[in-house]
Amino acid sequence: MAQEITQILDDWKNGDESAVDRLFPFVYDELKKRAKAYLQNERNNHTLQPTALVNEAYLRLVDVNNIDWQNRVHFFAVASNIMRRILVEHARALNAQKRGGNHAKIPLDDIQISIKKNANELLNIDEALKKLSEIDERKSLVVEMKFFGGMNQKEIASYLDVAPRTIQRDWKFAKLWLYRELTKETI
Amino acid sequence: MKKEDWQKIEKIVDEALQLKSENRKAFIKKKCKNSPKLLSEVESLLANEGIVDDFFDSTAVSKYANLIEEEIPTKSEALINKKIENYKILKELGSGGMGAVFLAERTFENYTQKVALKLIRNSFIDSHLENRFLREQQILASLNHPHIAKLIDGGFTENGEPYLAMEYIEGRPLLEFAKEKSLAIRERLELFLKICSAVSYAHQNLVIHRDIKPSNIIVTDDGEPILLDFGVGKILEDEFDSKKTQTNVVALTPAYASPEQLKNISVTTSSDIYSLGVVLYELLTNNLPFETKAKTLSEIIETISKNPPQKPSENYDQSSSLLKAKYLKGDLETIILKSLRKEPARRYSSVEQFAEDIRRYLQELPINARPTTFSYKTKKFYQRNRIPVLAGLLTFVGLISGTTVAIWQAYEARNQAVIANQAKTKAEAETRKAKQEEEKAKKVNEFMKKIISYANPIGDNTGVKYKGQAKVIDALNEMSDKIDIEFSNQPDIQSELHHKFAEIYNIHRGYETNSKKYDEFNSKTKFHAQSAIRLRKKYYGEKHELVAKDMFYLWVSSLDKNETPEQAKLLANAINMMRETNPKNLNLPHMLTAYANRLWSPTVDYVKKTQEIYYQNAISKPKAERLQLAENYYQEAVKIFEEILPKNHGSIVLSKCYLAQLQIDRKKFKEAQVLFPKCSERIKYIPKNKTETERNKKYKKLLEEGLKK
Repeated sequence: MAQEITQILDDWKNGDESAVDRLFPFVYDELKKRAKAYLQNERNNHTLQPTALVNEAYLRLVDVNNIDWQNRVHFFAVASNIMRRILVEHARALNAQKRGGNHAKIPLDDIQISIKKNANELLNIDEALKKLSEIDERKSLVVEMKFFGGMNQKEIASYLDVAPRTIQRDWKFAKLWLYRELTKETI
Repeated sequence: MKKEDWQKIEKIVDEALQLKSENRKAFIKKKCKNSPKLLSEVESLLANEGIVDDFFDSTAVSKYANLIEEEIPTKSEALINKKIENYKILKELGSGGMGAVFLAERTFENYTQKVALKLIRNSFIDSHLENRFLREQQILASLNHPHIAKLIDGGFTENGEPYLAMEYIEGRPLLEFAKEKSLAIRERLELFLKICSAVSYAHQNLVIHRDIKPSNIIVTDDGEPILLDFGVGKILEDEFDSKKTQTNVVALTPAYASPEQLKNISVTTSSDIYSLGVVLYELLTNNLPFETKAKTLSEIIETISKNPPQKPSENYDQSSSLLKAKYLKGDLETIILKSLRKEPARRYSSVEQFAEDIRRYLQELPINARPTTFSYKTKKFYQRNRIPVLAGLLTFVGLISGTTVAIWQAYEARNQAVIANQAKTKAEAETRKAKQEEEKAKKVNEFMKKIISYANPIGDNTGVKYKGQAKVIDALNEMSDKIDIEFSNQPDIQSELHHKFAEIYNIHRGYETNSKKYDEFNSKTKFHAQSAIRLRKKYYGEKHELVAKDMFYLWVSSLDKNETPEQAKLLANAINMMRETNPKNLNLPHMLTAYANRLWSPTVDYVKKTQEIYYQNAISKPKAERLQLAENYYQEAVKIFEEILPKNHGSIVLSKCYLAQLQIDRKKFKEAQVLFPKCSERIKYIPKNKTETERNKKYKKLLEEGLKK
C-alpha cells in the first residue's frame, strides 16, 4: 500500500488532480483510526495534536525511503483538509442525532451541552471558511493547514510557494476575519 | 466585495497591527479618510484583535477532540430506514473506496421500485468534482441497453452529497451462476456474447467501463447477464490540450486490469477488451490467467505486464466435469489469448470483432484471430514502451482500433449539450444536435471499421498487400483518397472524415522524426483540413463554428518555424468567425491565447521572429496598443475558459498565468499581483521544468520590484 500512496502523491505532484480523490479514502481511514486510538489510550497524558496524528498516519501509509520533501508537504496539505472533513462530519452527525429522534425531551447534561456547543461552533467555522475561500482562497488554505492540520509556517509557505512572511500575514488577517464572521450573527 | 477593496483593507489592517495600539486609531482614520465604509470594515476587524489569538490558540483537533471521541454510528447504519430524497434506505449492499451502495425503494401510488442507491462518501465535494459527477451522471443516463443496469436518477442529498440511483438487479454474480446451473461451454459463450453486446454499446456511446470483472456482472434468474457499475467508468475526454494524465488505479481490481491500466499508460476501449478476455478466461477455466494470490500489487503488475498468460488448456479447473482441455485447445484458446495480448494494438480492435470470432467458433466457421506465436517476445514490447513517443502512439492506436475516434464529434456535441443543460438553457436544441451528430457518427464509424479491417488480411484484399502487418497509418493512407469517392453525395460525412483525418495526421506529424515522412504527413494534414473547410462551407454555409474550427486546425497544422502573414490572417479570421458563430466553443479561448502569445511572445522563442507578422496583421498601431490587444485577448480567453471548464482547470491556470506575466511586462503590477500566484500554481503541476521555473522566478522578481516602486 505504501507504494501505491507514493505513486498517488507523485501523480498529484505531476499535475493529476484526481490523485487527491484517490488519496482521500486511505488517509481518511487512517487518520480517524489514529485519532480514536489516541483518545482512548492516552487521553490523560496528551492533548491531541494534529501534527502527531498526521505524522503517524504518514509514516504508516507512505514508503518513507521513497519519498521527497515536496511529497511530504503535499501529504500534509491533503491531511489537513481531511482532518477538517472528519471533524465536520462528526459535528454534523452529532447535530443530526440531537435534533431528531426521541431524545428531544430528555434534558441535556453539561457534557452533552458542551459537545453540542462545540459541534455548532465547528460547523460555523467551516461555513465561514467556505465563505473566505470564495473571497480569498489562499487565506482559507492557510487556515486549513494551520488550524486543522497543524502545519507550520515554513511547510505552508513551501506548499503554496509564497514567502513565510505572507503566510504569517494571511493567518493574522484570516483569524480576524473569521472571528468577526463567527460573531456576526449573535450581535 | 471588490478585489481592490479587499486588498486595501488587508493592507491597512496589516500595517495597523504593526503599530502600537495607541497610534492605530489615528493611522486608520487617516488611511480611510474618504470612505466611511472602509473605515467600519477595518475597525470591525481590528476590534477582535485581543480575542482571536485565544480563540485560535490551540488547533481544531485538540479544541474539538470531544467531537471525535463521541461514538457516532457509522454512516451506513445511521442511514437504514432513513430517506434520501424520495428513496427509503433498506440495507447496505456493499461499500468501497469512494462510497457505499444501498438497497433502497421508492414508492409511487401503485407500486414500489427497488433501486441500488450509490452514495458518494466524499461528503464535501468541491465544484470540480461536482461538475464531473453531473456530467458522468448525464452520460450514464443515456446508456440504454438490455444488458446494462440503468441509471434511474441521481442528484444531491440535502447534505450536498451526490447519489446515484441505479436499477437494482436481483440475481447471482456471473461465475456463481455458471457454476450453479452447470452451464456447458456453449451456454457460457452465449452468456458472454450478451455481455459483449453491452460493452460494445457503451463504447459506441464513448463510455469505457474500466472495471469489468465477474462480480460486476449479475445474471438474473431468467439467465440475462446485466453489467453493473459504470461508476468508475470514464467518459472519453476530448481535451484540446490533452496533456492531462489519465490515471486509473482508483478502485480497479488488478487481476482483471490490463497491463496499460496497471502501468498507468492510458485507458482505451481496448482495456475493456482485455478485461473481457480475463472474464472469458475465468468463465471457461474457473481460473485466472495469472497467479495473483499472495502477491503484492507491484508483483502483480510485474507479472501481468511481463509474463505471458498461462494457456487456458493447461490451466483449467480439472475438478469440473464440464470444462475439458479438448474444448479449450485450438480456436477458443486462440480467441482468449488474442484478447489478452499485452499491446492494445494486437488485441481485437473492437469488442464487436471479439464477439464475432466467438460467434464464428459457435457456428464452426474459421475464426479471424491467428494463434499467438509464443516466440513473440513481450520483452520487446516492454523495451519499446520505455520510449515515451511510442507510448503516445500506442494510446493513439488504441483510440483508432477502438473505433472511437469516429464518434468523437458526437461526444463533443453531447458534452456541450451537457454543459448547456447545466445552465438550463438551450438544452433541448443541443440534445437534438447531439442526436444528429450521433447519426452522422454512425456512418463515419462504418468507414472507420473499414480502416481497421486493413490490419486484418482475411476477407480484405487490400490488406493482403501488407501481409497482415498493416499499421494504422498504412490503412489511413489507403483510405485517404477514398473519402471523396465514397461520400461524394454526403458533404456532412465527407467533411467530418476529412476533419478526422486532418486531426489524425496532425498527431502523427507531431511524433514523426523522419523528415521525409514528416513532410508527407504535413501535406496530408493540410490536404484534409483544406478539404474539410471547403466542404463545410458548402454544407454549413460560409460562416459556421465548424468552419472556424477547421480553420484553426489548418492553422495548427501549418505551424512551423516560419509563420507567414497568411497564417496570421487565417487565425484572425477563425477567431472572428468563432466569435460570431459560437462564442462558447472551447476552441475559441485556445485560438485567442495562441494569437495573444504571438502578439506578445511569452513562451516559444521562434515566435519572436514571427511577431512582426502578427503585429502587422493586428493593427498598424504603436506597440503599447498592440500589447493592450494581446491583454484583451487573454482576458477574453480566461473568461470563456472559466465559463466552460471546471474550476482550476489547467487551461484556466495557464491563461491566467500568461495574462499576469503580460501585465507585469506592461508594468500593471497591481493587477498582476492578483493573478500572478496562478503562475506558481502552474509550476507545481509541471515536474522539474527548468525554463518554466526560471521564467517564473524572473517575473516574480519583476513583480516584487515593480510593487516596491
